[in-house]
Amino acid sequence: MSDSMTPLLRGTVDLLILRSLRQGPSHGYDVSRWVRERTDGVFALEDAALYQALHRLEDRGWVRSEWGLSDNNRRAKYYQLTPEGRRQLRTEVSMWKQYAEAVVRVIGSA
Amino acid sequence: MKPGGVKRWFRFPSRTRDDIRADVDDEIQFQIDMRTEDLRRSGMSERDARVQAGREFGDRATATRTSVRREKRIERRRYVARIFSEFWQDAVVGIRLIRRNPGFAAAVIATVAVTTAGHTAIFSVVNSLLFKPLPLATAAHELARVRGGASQMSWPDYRDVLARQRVFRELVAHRRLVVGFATTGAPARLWGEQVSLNYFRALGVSPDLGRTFTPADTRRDVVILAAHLWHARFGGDPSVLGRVLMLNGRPFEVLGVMPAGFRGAAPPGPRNDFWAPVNETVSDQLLSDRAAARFEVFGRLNPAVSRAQAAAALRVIAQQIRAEHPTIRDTFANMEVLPVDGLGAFRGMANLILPVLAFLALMTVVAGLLLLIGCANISGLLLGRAAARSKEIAVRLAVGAGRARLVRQLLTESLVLALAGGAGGTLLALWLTGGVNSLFSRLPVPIEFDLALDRRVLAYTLGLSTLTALVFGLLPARRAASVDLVSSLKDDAAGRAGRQKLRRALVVGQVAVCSMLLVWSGLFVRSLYHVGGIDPGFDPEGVLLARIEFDEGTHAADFGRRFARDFQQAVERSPGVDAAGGATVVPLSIDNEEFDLFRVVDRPGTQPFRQRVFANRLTPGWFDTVKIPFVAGRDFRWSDGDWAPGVAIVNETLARQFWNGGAVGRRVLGPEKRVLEIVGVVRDSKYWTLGEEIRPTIYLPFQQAYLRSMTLHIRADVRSATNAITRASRSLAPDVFVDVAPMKATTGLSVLPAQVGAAVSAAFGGLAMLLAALGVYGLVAFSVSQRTREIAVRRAIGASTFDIMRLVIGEHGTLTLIGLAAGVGLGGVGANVFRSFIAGVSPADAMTFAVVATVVASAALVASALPALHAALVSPMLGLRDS
Repeated sequence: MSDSMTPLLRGTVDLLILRSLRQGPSHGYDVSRWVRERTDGVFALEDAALYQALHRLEDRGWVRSEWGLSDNNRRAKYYQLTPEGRRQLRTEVSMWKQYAEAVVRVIGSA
Repeated sequence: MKPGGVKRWFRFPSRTRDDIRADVDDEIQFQIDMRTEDLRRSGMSERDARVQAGREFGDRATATRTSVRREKRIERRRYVARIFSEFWQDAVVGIRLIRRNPGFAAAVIATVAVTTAGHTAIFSVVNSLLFKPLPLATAAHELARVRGGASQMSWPDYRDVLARQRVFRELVAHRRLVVGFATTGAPARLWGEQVSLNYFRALGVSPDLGRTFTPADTRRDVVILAAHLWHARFGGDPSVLGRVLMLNGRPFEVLGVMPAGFRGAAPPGPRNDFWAPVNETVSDQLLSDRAAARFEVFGRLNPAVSRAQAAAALRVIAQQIRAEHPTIRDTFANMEVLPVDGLGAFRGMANLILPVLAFLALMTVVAGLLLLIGCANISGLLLGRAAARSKEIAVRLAVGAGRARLVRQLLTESLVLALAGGAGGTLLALWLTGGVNSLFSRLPVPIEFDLALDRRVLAYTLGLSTLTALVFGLLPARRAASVDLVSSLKDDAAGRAGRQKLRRALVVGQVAVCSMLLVWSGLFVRSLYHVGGIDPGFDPEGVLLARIEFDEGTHAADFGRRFARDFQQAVERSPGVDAAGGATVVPLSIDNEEFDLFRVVDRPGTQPFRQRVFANRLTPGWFDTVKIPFVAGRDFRWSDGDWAPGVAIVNETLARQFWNGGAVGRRVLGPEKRVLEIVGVVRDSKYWTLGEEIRPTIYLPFQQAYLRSMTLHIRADVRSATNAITRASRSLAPDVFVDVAPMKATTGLSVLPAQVGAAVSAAFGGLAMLLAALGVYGLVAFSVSQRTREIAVRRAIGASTFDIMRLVIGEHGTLTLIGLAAGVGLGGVGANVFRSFIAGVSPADAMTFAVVATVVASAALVASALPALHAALVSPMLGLRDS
């Protein structure tokens, strides 16, 4: 990955994953592709970090997993949001928006 | 069932460490493969795409490691959740089964309730003695009891220690105080404590009402009441504050009321009615006498001072004090600092606590046996039900339910029943413990235990119920789950032989245990009966007891001696009084006094001789009053006073042991090395218990051997004399407390242990018999139900009702007989343990054995006759059609 990419702020990975799972159950690869497409490669998100985050979210009870079959008939692990995860997503989204607006206000007035 | 044991039944399938690792690997590999495929499709070569995908993934080793760790945590949580959800499903099924089968469920629940109630009640007592925290604000580990050479301390010694020590934040002295409480009604005896002013401050307890002591309170008489006294005597009226109570004829102002349950830092047992501060302005010789070690001392330790450190510091101080006052006994310097709760609180009271603990241990054994019978019974019921459900179970196995899963389900059903039973048992135990406290109310000293339920008791009962469920449920569950699929589905009776063998063994065990318990209760009852016929050697009928209590501080010995004489002479002059005489020990009450007596070498040929003897201190006229006749010599006279030569009277046994009779004129060395001349010999009489062997007993004149409490025995017309007695004592000295009771009530206490033993073992024995009868009934009813066809065939070919009954009963009678023989044998052998409690009855008492055998055999006969009759009356046609 090139040096021009911005390193992700802590906690942003969780938000991105939760947001991507709002579309419905997906396996890890779907999540990584969704993040890659949506961010146009702005963020430097390693797959290793993504998978560790997925397991961490499951440990916290925000997502739950189930083994299933992928489109090309391979065994794949599917993740989906739990009700708790949905709540967490809403909280984090509104927090981020407030944060971003505040930062923009400060920068804009400079 | 395959080998593997209990553990197998509780193993739930879950992923191993290797499984988890493989899963994580799979997931990551899937990601890399998919990304490679994507990149290849966008034009990369296979080789470059794979390298690129790997690089994009990043640190695979770390990702794998942390993910595996997290997955393991998740797996554990899922495992627990699965156990709970499965348990909950089974419990719901269990509750549904109770509703479908209420009779069966009621039998099981009642059995568990009854059997756990005994245990819970016993544990409540143990809990109140050893485990319940003291109801204090100060933590128990900060408090410590202080004893100088295993003894109490005198007030001056306490003051000296208090002034010099630096290890206790507060050091408190207190002593037991018994006072007469004069109200408008009958005078009452109150038990309380005289305490140093810092008593409540050290304990950190404030009163419910009013206040505790302030430094000004040393200059007047004030008192703080216990909650129970406030409710009983003053109806819980808050206006009691400021009221003046007459205690021992002295006015005390009420300052406050303590919360219910407050008992200070004392070990559980004695109840306190009030607390009064030491009043140093009243001339109380107890407060200046270094020889009068009457005060218990406890303290609140300074932070970070251990009991061992405190003891070391106090020993140094005690050495100094003893050096300044050489009259203090030398053991005083051996200061001990002891805990105030748990078993340690009873140090130095082994003779009090050991019999109680031994009794509790015996009760635990008996209650344990009862629990075993109960479990055997339920096991029998469950085995029967498992047989009835074998088809259901076989079907479930056939459609793929695991055997382990099935065992767990059956166990959970048992657990639901057992927990319901445990709840019932707790209620029963509440009722039982109420009985325990009312038993204590018969004792002459107020005893009270806080037997209220708490977390510990509930946890104990919960654990016990769970254990019960495992004990009675495991075997039937295992049996049920190991049904042979083919034979069960075919409804073949051949597979049931083994199950029946087990139930038979259970019934034999039940009959044995119940016979054993009944033998014990029989022995106790026989001993009570025997004791009732024993002649105590004196006559308590028509005798009133007037118990006199002198206040150690304000009544000197001279006063006591004079009062005893004047009071007795006033009573003797009263109308309706035939005779009167005082004694310090009332025979057959729980009181006693004993010491070593020496024979004086006063004539050629006598050898030194020493013997432990019972003792009593009397005023003239006592032997006449209780009708103990003289064999030789004379009674005491009022002239046998403190200044006169020492005299004594002995019983026949002592005269025989010391001089082979002919005791009058001989001499002995009594307590305090005083030489006593024997002036009389009296007939033997019982002293401590009715069952005892007569022991050598010496009687001393009260005027020469003063004690601060004594009891005037009065042979009189009960109704007219009581008032005269009270009047006589009031007019002589209003501050001496005298209460009057018939002698019969006191001497009845000596049979209390045998009564308790008889009541308890009879209750347990009766219960055990009921359970055993139910067990026999269940066994016979079940075996009859399995043999409907056979019995119908027998009826059809001409067997009479009687023939059928004989057949059925005969088969099970043998079981009863085996159990009976074993139980009676074990009971006889076991009774040797408490031989000393069954006065006058041999542990191998043939009469008891015969009665128990008859009772148990009859009960078993009735229990098996009922289902047998039922079977015999079924019409042959119906029986044949049914199968």
